[in-house]
Amino acid sequence: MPSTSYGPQRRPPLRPQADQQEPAAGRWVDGEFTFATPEAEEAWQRSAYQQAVSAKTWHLGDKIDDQTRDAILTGIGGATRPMYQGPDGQYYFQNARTLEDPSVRSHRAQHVAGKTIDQIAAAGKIPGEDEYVAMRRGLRTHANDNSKPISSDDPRDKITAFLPKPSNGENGSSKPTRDRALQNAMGSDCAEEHKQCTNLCTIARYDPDMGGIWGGSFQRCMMGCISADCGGNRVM
Amino acid sequence: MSVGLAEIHRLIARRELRAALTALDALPQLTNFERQEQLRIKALVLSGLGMTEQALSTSEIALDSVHVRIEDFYFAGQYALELHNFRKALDYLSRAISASIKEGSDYYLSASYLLRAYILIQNGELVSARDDLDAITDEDCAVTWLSNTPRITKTDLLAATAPSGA
Repeated sequence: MPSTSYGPQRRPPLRPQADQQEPAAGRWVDGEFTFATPEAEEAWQRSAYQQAVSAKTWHLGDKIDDQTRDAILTGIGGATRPMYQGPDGQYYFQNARTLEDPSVRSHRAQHVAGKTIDQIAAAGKIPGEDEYVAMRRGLRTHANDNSKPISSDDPRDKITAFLPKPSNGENGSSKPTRDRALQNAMGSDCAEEHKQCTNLCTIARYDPDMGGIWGGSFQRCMMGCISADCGGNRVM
Repeated sequence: MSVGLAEIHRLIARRELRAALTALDALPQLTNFERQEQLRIKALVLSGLGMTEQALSTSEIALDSVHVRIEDFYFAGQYALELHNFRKALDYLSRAISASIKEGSDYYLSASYLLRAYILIQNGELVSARDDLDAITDEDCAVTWLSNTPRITKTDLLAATAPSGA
């Protein structure tokens, strides 16, 4: 494969290098990968962004044996599917289940727009990388502030942890009237709920685990987050 | 810096908005990107405190940055609409729509179109409003979370823009 020069700056490595392999960021426990530290998890999120792989579903990739990996990394492997190195140190081929979420691609596209290859190369990192990690960090901080632990693989559990507490409907008020919704929409409880949802839905755009759940739109996210009592669609 | 913002996110999550506001103002030595994030969060907090005018002016500062994002235009438009400043709201929402189209991002597009259609109807520009409504693919599109503004739905706005006798 011919190499391309971008001047004195080196292009940031989009693919992992065998001689740069780092120790695993955690370990497998009962079929689930557990990160050793929050910092290790954050480092993985950065790596996943660099490698354009889903930080959440990376483990569903197709494992690559050592011989194949070495052949690819030394440039004699021929045309292959995109490859990445997971936080466990293992190399994987991308497949449909490991593709990063459209919201992450959109985030990258937003940060790449208007930049030249030389500018990107000179930056030494993937455009939007720091912002993506910062957003994930903020998201995790939010999650940690809620009483409900985020341990399930089901992203809907993660969503639930962000949702505002039920508003002042009686007995859960599962069937509010539109008048009631309109009346409450101006109330302070609803205003509070609206702001909580605004905060959530602003962050949701950058979270690959939440994009699909919220329909990929701020408006849908808000309507799904806000309770029916306060003018949204969420029924408790 | 990141630790400071993390602390502020914690305060917001605990609904301690006054404390979050104080902490935001006390953040030391910011890079341009961090400054943008600070303004973004501060506007959200001010809006949460009901200080919509200050939220708008704060978000307007963010619009001048090279780090401006689509959401900055959208929220500036939303705050302006809540203040019934239709001229500014129309401008900012139009910029949110343009930026969304340019960047191929749909996230704020339907809400921006809907709010702009609402403003256009207030201005009597029914044809333009209809164009915006037609650009929204979601038939159930609604914005119900604005203060000082009634529930806005695509269905209601379509009815408002329908030719008389239709």
